[in-house]
Amino acid sequence: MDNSLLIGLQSQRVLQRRMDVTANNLANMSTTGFKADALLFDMQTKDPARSRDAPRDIRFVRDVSSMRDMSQGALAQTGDAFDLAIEGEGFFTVGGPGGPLYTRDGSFSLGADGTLSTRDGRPVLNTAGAPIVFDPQGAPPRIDTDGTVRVGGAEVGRIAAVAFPAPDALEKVGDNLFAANGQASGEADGAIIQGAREASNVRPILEMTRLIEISRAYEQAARIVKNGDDLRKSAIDRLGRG
Amino acid sequence: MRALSIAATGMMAQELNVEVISHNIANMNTTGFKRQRAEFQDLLYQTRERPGANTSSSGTMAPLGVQIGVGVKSGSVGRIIAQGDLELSANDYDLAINGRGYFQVLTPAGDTAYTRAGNFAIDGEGRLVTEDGYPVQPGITIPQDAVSVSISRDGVVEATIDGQTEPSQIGQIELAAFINPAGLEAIGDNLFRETSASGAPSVAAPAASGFGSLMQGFLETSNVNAVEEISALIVAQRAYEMNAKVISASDEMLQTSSQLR
Repeated sequence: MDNSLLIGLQSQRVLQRRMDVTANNLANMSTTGFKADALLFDMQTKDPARSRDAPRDIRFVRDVSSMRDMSQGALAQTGDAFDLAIEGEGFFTVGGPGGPLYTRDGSFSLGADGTLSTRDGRPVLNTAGAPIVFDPQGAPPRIDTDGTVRVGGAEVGRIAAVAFPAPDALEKVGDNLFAANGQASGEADGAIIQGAREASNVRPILEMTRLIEISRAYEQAARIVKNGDDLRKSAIDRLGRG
Repeated sequence: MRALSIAATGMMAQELNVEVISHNIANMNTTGFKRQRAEFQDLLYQTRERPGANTSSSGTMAPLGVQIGVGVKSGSVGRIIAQGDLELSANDYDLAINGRGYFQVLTPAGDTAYTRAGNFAIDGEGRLVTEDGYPVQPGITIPQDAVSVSISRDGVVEATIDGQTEPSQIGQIELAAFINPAGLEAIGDNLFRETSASGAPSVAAPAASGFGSLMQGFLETSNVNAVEEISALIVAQRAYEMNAKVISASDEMLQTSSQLR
């Protein structure tokens, strides 16, 4: 009897976390370069609370890891020369306090000294790992699909998209940034598109159906707990009477 | 439940989005207006299991972790510095900048402000002023007896005086350009102020290298695109509704739990 309570409760805990992930996806529907998360589940086999109870082993649900949907988000044309998007795999490299960080959000702008930077002021790094500084008086740059930056026809550097062997395993650190988490980066084959930005890849319909699924499953899990409780109550009632 | 507060951040973000869109739509007919765009960023993540954590003493590791985000925040509201359409107005003192640069005007407080709105006029003393009467810098005074005024692409102001055949030069309009015009601070009345993000202005005559040219008798319309804004409004409204749905679903889940007994 305790088993059904515990299984029900564990299932509720996991469902609440799934709900948190779905809520976060929906909250980031308009976040540039956002990649949707999902939780992966696993069964954990445990011995029952009392060995005489059937079944012989009971299975708890467990969230083992979050899976990241790395699929391409829609490219929205903006016409801004400093809005960049990656079509295909890869990330932009930006400078962080503790080493480089990676992002798919290419809505960059120029700092007061002409440094190409993210909206929160982190410098965008070129293939050599240095910030890209434009001449304040110069013409707006042209950026080719391979990331070569040209000002007035002359090449001034290259912003390369970098890829990781396991992009799922990158750690999200907020502010649309990912940390490499010890993975070595290589050059990506994603194309850099100037004048566009990548919309969030959250699929609202999918998230909404997931939302319904979670709330129904939660009700069912609650019912397991309630049934277990009722059963115990009636046992106490009946046995106590005799 | 975190889902409640996460969805609340989502609703706040979409609210800001709608505010920015409505400001754009409200300024659809404002001369020289540059549309704005709300930028969002994901908030911090709570890492319950780190990706790459060891799962056994023999060195196997979890390929993926469990990271649960706590919502969204508004990163910034950026301005899209794209050229607006040029509209023929046939007014002598209407100027449009075709390309980079801002007109400089002197505010009553004595500061220099910058504007793309070139719907100028002449005040009682013959000075070239904005709609609000702020003089254009460097100051240009039109003589009393001028018959016609012409302003060239490169900002030379010439007036034909009654009784003369040749026009005479009476001034030169100069433009200011910024490395990061999106970093200028809007102070209302179509005016902008220099900030440390925009950088210091570089001043030159129109049509100089890196500067836009002037067009007399034209006005730069707002660069707001109605279709784009309305479709963005629909998306924002639906996103708001979906986040509200998350709140009601989380509420139902909590209710289910509280009704267990």
